[in-house]
Amino acid sequence: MALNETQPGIKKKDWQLTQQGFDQLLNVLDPDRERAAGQYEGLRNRLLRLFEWRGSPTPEEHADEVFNRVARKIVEGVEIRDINHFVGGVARRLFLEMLEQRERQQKALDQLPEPIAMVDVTAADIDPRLDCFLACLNELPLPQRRLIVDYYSDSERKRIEQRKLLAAQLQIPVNALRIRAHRLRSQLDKCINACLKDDARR
Amino acid sequence: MGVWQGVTEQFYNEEKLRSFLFGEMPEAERAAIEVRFLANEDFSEQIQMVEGELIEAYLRGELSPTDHKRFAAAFLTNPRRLERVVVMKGVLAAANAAAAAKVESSPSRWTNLPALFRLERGLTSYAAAAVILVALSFGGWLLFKKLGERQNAQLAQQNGNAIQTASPAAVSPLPSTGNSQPSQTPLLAETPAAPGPTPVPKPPAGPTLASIMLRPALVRDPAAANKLTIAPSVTQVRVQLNLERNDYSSYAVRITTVDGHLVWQAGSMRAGTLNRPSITVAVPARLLPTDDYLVEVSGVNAAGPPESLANYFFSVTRK
Repeated sequence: MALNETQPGIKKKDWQLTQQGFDQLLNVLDPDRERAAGQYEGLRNRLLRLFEWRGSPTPEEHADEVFNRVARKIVEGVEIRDINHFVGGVARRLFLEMLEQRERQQKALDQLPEPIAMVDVTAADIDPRLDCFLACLNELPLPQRRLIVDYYSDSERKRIEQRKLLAAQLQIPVNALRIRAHRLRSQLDKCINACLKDDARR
Repeated sequence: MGVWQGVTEQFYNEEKLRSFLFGEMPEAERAAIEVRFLANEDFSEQIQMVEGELIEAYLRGELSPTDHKRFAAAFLTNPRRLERVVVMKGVLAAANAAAAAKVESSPSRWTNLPALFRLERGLTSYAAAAVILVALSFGGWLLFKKLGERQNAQLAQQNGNAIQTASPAAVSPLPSTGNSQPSQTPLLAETPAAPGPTPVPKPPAGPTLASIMLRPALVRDPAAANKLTIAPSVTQVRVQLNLERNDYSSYAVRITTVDGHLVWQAGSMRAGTLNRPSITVAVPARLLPTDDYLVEVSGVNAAGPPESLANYFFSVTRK
């Protein structure tokens, strides 16, 4: 289906994602609607991280723009063999546009790049929020909580040795322990971010 | 999410991933990594793990001077990445606080009852701290309801404002634990003794922490009501109050004896939601002599007065 069949006369930049376009996008991700929704969510989260790494001040906007563009292509009838690669290509195109836009803005303003402002993380950044950190840690089931505490707490041993010992106790390779700790911390991060957002709303 | 065990040999070159994360990789290689990041869940997990470890190494002061500069330029200039650094710092601080509590309270377990039952050691060694989870008989429930109504009136009368406006330290008899340990948090560390030259009598040996998990009052045999046996060495009792829902911005908790004597109260508490809504409070054990206790949880929203939500019952026996 061509673009002008759904939104006649609309320029590319003004194209808006329609329900039909979104449904088609989900269908390309997976014919099963529920699995497609999960894939969409996962892909969006990874896009957010990519744009963050590229220095985007608004990764959400950029990630949504990628999906808009991909959906538009699908509506236009472009055949997509590998959605992840296709999304990656569109994201990269958007990165380049982002960079060009930044350069243009800098030239237009005839300004030198601003000096980089480095901010250090002090105890003051943590203290008011420690209740969220502790509350979220407390919500983990005991075995996971113990793993996080044993993995991240300071020890008299060198950290590498401490983790080797922990891996040996759990009878898993160190890399498996690392990934396990990472998954738990991601879970913890989600809880902490939600808790901090709740705090900010109050 | 793939099972990592067995695929460890597929770990990508981590030095390359660091270059990627520092933003120092040639564009073509970077683009290839980005596409792989989008397409491969295991790989995406690995990069994020390496990023977390970089942040941790930075916070622990383990980066080389060169990497420290690379890190600062890439992470500390970007608000979102800076937020990740702050969150990791919090995780490390919380892990240390929990580890400290574990050491202090060893061999007791700072955990809820189901977790207690999952411990690898035999349950018998924890019998003193364990709680039998059964609820009340209908008669007990009636008594409980009646007293609950009385407390609602008292709470609204005495404390509608205090709970909402007073600082946590003011409404809670828990001693202040300093900036890094807000008193309304489910406490992980036992409160340290006040500093001073006066020698403090050595506390009795044994667990310093006891835990109990309570569900809103159910109609069961009162003879097997929620019982908590507190050993002389216990200084703090953690009470986990399970909630049906988490519909309020904060909660107030009030513990009284069954004859209405106020024992402990706190406001501005937040419910944890990871597994199920619950509030955990840490009550000084000295406030809980052998007796039967009622716990009332009220929900507080900015607009209105506290609303009584749930009541719980437990009895304490001192060893």
